[in-house]
Amino acid sequence: MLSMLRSNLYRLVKTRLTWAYAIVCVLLICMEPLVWFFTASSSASYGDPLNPTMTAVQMYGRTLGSGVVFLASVYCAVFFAADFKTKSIKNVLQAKGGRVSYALAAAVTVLVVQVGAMVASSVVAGAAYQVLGFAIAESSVVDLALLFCQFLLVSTAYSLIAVLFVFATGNETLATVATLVVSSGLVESFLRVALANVFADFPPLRDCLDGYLAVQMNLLSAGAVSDAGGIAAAAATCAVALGLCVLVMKKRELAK
Amino acid sequence: MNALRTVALGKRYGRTWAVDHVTMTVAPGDIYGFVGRNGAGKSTLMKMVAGLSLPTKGYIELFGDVVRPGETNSRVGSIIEGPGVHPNLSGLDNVMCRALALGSANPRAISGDVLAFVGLADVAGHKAGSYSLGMKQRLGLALALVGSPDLLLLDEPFNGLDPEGVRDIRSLITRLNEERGITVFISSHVLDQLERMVTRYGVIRGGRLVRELAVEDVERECSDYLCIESPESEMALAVLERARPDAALGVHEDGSIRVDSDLSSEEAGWILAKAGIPVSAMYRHSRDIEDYFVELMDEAPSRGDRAGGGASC
Repeated sequence: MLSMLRSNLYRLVKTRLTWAYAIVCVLLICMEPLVWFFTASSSASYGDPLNPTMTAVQMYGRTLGSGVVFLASVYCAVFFAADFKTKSIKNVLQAKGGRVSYALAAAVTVLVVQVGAMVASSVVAGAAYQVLGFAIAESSVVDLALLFCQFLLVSTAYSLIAVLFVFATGNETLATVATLVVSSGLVESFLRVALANVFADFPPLRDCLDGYLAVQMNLLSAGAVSDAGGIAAAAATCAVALGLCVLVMKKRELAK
Repeated sequence: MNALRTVALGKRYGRTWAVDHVTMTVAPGDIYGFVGRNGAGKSTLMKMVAGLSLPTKGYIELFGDVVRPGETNSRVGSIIEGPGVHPNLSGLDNVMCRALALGSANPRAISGDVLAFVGLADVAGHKAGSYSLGMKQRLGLALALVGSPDLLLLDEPFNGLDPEGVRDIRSLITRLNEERGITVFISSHVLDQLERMVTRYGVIRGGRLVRELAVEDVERECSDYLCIESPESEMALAVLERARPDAALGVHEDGSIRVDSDLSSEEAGWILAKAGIPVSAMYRHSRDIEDYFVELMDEAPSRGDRAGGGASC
């Protein structure tokens, strides 16, 4: 599995897609402080160290929720779909562990991508806000750690679902569209509305998606960490998605 | 111990058996030519051996070990349905990805070695998408060679190549077999190229393996011979054996006599005429290898020809 991970990371560094993703992310991250900078009525409204308008947790929440982790899911889908599209998956499967190792290595690669995206985004955002003169109120280490952990769980869950789509379909377009629809929270929102209407009198089903991934992502974007139940739901989603990835890889035809 | 053995291997799509209970063996050091029409089941069988497709029935043994369905093996290198390369990565990077995945100790050196072996060292840094078809096939061969495989599965490696490309790939395959002792399992429609390197043949038709032949069998079947038809064929055979004990004589199923030695038609005619044996026809039979395989591939499938090449020609 580790050798396949090394192979994935090598391709990740070498492929142009990574750098395209990085550039888009930097633009996304810098857009908000720049817009705020140019539209603010006076420097006092954002640059007053005695009266900061944003805490560090809020800043990182806005940054990571601005689409960086959402795009990371799309990136993961396109990255692994390339293996199926070019049929180069057959070149790496002969490694020890074969199909299972490939699925596990994909999961770890997803984690690496998400951690890398979050760390890089946070550094770039911190630098951008600082250079533009924003005063950011400090947050406690615990709050920051909780925010990052929950962001990582939710975004990894979305990315693993994206990889699952790739493994199941082997089709880049289908998997990308499915990832866009799911990772953006569209499916979840639709289901929440549908459940609320269909099972209005049955709270267990009506409320079953309350506090799930899309809701958590909204909260996190505002700098709010959800309760333990939300974190457990995200972790469970990761575990189920990973299990399905392994299962699908073991059972699917890789050449028709 | 065989390099490859399939036992009653089958693959069904819907109601159709693409591969129908095929039992075959490939010995170490063989270059095994796998011949059949389009859709006969060649690629499907190779995909199952490579672990890309899951068998519906039967099992596969690689180097004596039974392979679980979908299990891949680092001792096997393959080019199936094209080389499978990332077009935006260089040739070297493509090979590096495989070398890293296989856990090679020195992936860069190994990648350089295999690219040099297939003659792509000069263009290793170029994007694989810019390679010609022949170069892509050679890159596929380089990818297959990473990890020093003992068995190479090559599915139509000559497809789309110009004559020079075909010759290059053929000589590479032959070198791999001779210099590195790699067993090669190759499917191709280019029979004249197979003829120049293959040591054994397998013929598949409608998913069923209908014949397995050593190259000597094919040579014998396709060699020129004198055919003598006589209403008294047993007598004629005895007379010819007595007159020319050194001659290689045989009898076909239809009773005609087959003479494989240098016995000329004139001499055979004289011998039989002197013995008063009537001859209804005498002709020199010659058969092209292509005609021979086309005949094998076209024969109407019978109930008894399932699995394993027991029928005689």
